[in-house]
Amino acid sequence: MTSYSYNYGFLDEQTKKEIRRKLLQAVAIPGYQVPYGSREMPIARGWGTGGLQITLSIIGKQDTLKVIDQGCDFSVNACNLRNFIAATTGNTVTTDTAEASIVQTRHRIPEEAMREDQILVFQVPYPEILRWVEPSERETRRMHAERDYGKLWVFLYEDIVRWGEITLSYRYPVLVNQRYAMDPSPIPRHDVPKLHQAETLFLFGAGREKRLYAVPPYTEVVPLQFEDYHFTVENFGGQPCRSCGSTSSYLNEVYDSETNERYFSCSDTSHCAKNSQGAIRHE
Amino acid sequence: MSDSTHFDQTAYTQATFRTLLDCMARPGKVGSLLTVAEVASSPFDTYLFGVALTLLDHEVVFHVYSDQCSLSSHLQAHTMARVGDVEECDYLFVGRGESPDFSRLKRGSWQYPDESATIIQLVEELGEVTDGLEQALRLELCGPGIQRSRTVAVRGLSCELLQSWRHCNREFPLGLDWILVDKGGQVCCLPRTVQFTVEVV
Repeated sequence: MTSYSYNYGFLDEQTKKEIRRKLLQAVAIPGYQVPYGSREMPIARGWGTGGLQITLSIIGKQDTLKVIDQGCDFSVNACNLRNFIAATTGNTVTTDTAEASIVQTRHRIPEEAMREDQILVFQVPYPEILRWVEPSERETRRMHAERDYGKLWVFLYEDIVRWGEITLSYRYPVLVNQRYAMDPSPIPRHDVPKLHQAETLFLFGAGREKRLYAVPPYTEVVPLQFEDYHFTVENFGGQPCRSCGSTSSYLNEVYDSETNERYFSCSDTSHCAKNSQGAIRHE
Repeated sequence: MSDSTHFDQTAYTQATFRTLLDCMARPGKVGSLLTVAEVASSPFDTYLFGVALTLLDHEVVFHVYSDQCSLSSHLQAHTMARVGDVEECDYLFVGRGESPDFSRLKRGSWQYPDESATIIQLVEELGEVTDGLEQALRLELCGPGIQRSRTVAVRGLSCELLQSWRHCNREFPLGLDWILVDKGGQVCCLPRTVQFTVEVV
């Protein structure tokens, strides 16, 4: 018997129903932002309430949960969200990507390839990719309706004129299923190709902006690029992670002010730890 | 809901939703629904009732096509959803062998394509292989959620209905999403993104 003072998963059943209905529609229209009635949560808006509401609406007793913040299981945001979900559901939590059935993430896609039986839930601060170029919501709705993405292309073109390359390091615009321009959330460019033809279902929640959207598995997700200026991922100059030696994972640059030394280490802590122990399956 | 059967609606609707989500994300995949013990003895289809219990509440409008045994009032009493005409409904429930006119349903607008109807339809039998299914339609599907192609066999669905559904989805993102449920509680979802070829076996 359980003795929670809240409903299972904190949210009331009406709220879950609404989010569930909207999620089914989001999956049916890949990349389209579905408006929903984002609820007040016991954390501040902008701290992952969108992802949190999705996770709480989809989670069931059999699920194992992992929460990461910039790849790390142990930062403040990840710990608090994980503790909150565990406290209101009683579910098992893990830091191992392979063990989780639901992974909630802030700004990273785990390094380990995710499977068909897993769901990745993104916390999204700004769901509207056209916000780079257009402040009006009514106007961006029209632009999506008419597939009018000219301003976005000009924005990327101007970047090339000014800097000689596209300088966006996160929130890189992608086109989903050849129809909707979509904000992949602030994941680094390193992670963008993982959205394309993936095995896993991706759900995106923006609590403050009251939008949710989805990318089904095996869906075409292409970063916007020009014929002569291709999309590229970050380059770490071939430097390996100092802890596990990986050269293929996304790295953080760390500066040690005492030794005046600069080095790189994996952003995905779970992957780094497993890799150090030789527990990662390389394909 | 009912104390005598210890029906845990929270757990039931969560499990049902996850099956629907999985099937909607992977069109043509056949999933299994759980029975709702509470209505097993009622004249209504227990699986269709279970889907209704999962999706409906007071914020949405539904319609039961050619409702013969007052399913509407039963669903209304259990979910508090509003009954409306075919033209305004968010969810259309269709019995076995019925062929409603899909063109009357909401397909959403260009700016809000999500303001469209979802059809929940009962069929005789669903399967991922055509073996053992006589007089079935064999659908070869492709589109988002499908790696190359996927096959699903449906018995109890007419070619005409499939064609009229395809016609309603001709202008993506406008369209209708379709949830098929068979007698044994097997479920298969066809979102508006699905492309298909059909063959009678």
